[in-house]
Formats: sequence, structure tokens, C-alpha cells
Amino acid sequence: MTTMMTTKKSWKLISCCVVVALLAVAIGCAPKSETTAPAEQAFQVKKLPANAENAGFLHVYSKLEPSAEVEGLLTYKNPDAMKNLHRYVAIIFDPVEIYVQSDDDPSELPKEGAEAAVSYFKYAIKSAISDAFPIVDKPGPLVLRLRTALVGVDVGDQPGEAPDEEGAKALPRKINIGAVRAEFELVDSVTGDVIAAAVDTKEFKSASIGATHFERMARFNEARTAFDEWAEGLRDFLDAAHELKGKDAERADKAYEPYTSF
Amino acid sequence: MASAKPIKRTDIPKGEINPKLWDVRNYRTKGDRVYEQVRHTLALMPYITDFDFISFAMVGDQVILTGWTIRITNRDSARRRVESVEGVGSVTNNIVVLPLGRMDMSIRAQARARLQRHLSRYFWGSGSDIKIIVKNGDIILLGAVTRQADKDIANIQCRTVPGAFHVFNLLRVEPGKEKKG
Repeated sequence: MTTMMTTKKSWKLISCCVVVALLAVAIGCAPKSETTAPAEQAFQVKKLPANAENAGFLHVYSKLEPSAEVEGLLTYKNPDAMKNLHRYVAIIFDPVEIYVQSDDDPSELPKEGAEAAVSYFKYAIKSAISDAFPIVDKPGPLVLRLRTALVGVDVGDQPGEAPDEEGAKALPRKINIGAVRAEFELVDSVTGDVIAAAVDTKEFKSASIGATHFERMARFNEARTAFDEWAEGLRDFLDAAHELKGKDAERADKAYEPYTSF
Repeated sequence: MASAKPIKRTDIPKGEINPKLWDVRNYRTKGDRVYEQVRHTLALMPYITDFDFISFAMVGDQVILTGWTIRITNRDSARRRVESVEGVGSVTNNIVVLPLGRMDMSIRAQARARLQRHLSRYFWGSGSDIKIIVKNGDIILLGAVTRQADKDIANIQCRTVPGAFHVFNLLRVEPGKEKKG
């Protein structure tokens, strides 16, 4: 009887050991949990270099030319047929870069204000272009990377304004965007080649942001208009770049035949 | 093996389908002024890429748009453009907007690269005579080539695209259309 009990106990002990060993092996073999990547930052703040001709954001400043089709735009289109805008079908957003004036301190730019501005700007761009260039979340073939910058943001001395909108907060400092230039660059998301670029030189003198959710408040209408028009400018540029002209138009017309003719 | 019975006009419930659609004699074709204007306006749509194809049929003053596009704007713009053509009454828009899944995007890019490598004369600055429609891994080739051999090359090249399930080669062979490389 005692022998039987001892045997049972030893079996229990052995099975416990086996279970523990199996667990240890399982834990050892399990893939290591991936470290959570920090949430992608929606924007970066930089300082405009003093006395510089440009912000250094675009790769093609020297090749920009005034657009014949869209007023107030300086544009560039890659002349290589293999790097033509027509060859791409979707867009992925890069974080927006904000360049503050050379006499401003980037750390004084209110973070919540910059977030609100970038968030509305991205919304305006998406509304303006997504039916023609769907927005995707991963790079790949046929996908363009849209690099965007707001150049010349002025961190004012005045404090923000008390918001008249529920849930909005006054900013510690007003952000003036009256002298901002919106710069856009479209690069191949795989190779990094610059496919096109545009700079919108339209100015909205009294545009400023004094509170979060500024887009809902009438007193910041000018800022909202600025973002909307810069986004529209980008769409106009894309439309103009896709318009078929000359020999391309002739060939497209000659080649097109519907499949339902008898 | 059971053979399919032909459908009689009397089998179709009244009012469901326009009876004019059943008779090809009611369709407008090449040479008709309004048909040509509709064709021309669709041919010059700016956002049509190698991966979009919009077709149409015209019965009386009714235009039926069909085809596939990867851009919502093409669907809306095709309707707007056709509606603005003088002589067009109503427009039925059956254009399908294709999803931009990663696999389909990869198939599109690879199919175009292969076709462009082997049949470069059909590709030009901002477009091509060969349209590559990709839907859920299937490739549909549309458009026109000048030789049967080119149609066969297109078929072979697309069949070797990784991830592609089927190739439906609907390319037309039109020897009269000269293509310049």
C-alpha cells in the first residue's frame, strides 16, 4: 500500500516537472513581444535658417517655375517620362514640417496649436485630393509620398484668445500664419525620386490661430480659408498636371475605343 | 448535357429592362455625331491611367457607362462630362471603383513593368494603348494591339506576374492602327 502511494506521488511529481519543463520550453520558444513603436508624429518643428533663400525643405527649389495654369503656384514636374505623375495612383502622407521664423524659438510654438493646425491642414488636403489620389497608409509601387511644409510660421507675443467653442482651449501664444508658404513635394515612395513639387505663395495676411478647434470658430475663418486654399492649390496643380495635351491627347483620342460598339 | 434555353422578350417582366436594349439596331455606333462626341470626351479624361478603362453604349439618347477605375473622381467625372454632351439625355453610371489592396497594387505595378518592357511601343508619355485592370488578383487586358503576336506576348507576360490568378486577355488586334514607339 505504502509502495503504491509512493509510486503515485512520484508520478505526480514527474508529471508536474514535465508540465513545468514544457511551459519553460514554450515560453522560451515564444516570439518575443514586439516593443510598441511610438505613435507616428504628425508634425516636426524646425527653424528657418537666418538669411537663407529658402527653408531647405524641397529638393528642387532651383527648378521651380511659375505655373501657367494655377495662379500663385511655383511648380516642378519631373521631365522623365518614367517618373511622370500619371504613373502613380495613390498617396501616403509624411509628417508635416513646420518652419518657424528665424527669430522665433521653435520650443515656444504651442504644441496643441500646431497639432490643431496640422490636423486641419491634413483634413483639408485629404478632402481636396482623395477622390483623385486615394490616401493609403503604406508605401509601395504606384504610391507617392506627399511631403508637406508650412514655412514661415510666426509664434506671436500675444496670448491666444478665449475660445467660444465647447471643448476648445486658448493657446498660450497666438500662431500667425499670415506670411506662410505652403510647400509640397511628391516623391516615389519606393525609390525616393522627386516626381513633382509645388509652392503656394498665396498669403492670408490676418490668418492666425489662437485656440484649439480653431476651425469651428468664426474669428479664425481666415486661417481655415488659408488651409483650404493651399489644399485646393495642390489639387489644381494635380489636375493641371494630368490634363492631356498635344501629342498625348491625340494619341489617347486615337487609341480609345469602347467595348460596346457593334 | 442540358442546353441553355434562349430568353424570349416575353419572359422579361414588363418595365424591368428597357426593351430597346435588346435590339442592337437601336445602338448608336461609330460615325454617329453624338456617339463620337461622347467617345472623344471620355478619351480625354485627365485621370485615366493604365489601370482604368471606361466603356459606354448608347441607345437613343441614353448613355450607359461601364468599366473599372481606381479613382472615384473618374466615376463622377465621366458622368458629368457625358451629361454635358449635347444630345445626351440620360446617363446610367455602372462604372466600378476598384479597391487599392496591397496585392492588387503589386500586380498592377508588375504587370505594367513587364508589358512596358516587352511591348514598349504601346506605352507613351502619359498613358498606354493597353489597359491593365486588376481586381482581386485577376487581370483583364483591354485595348488594342496591331499584331496577334503582341496579344500573345501580353498574355504570357501577365501570366507570370506573381500573385495573379487569371488573365482575361480581351485585347483587340487591329492591324490598321500604327503604333509609334
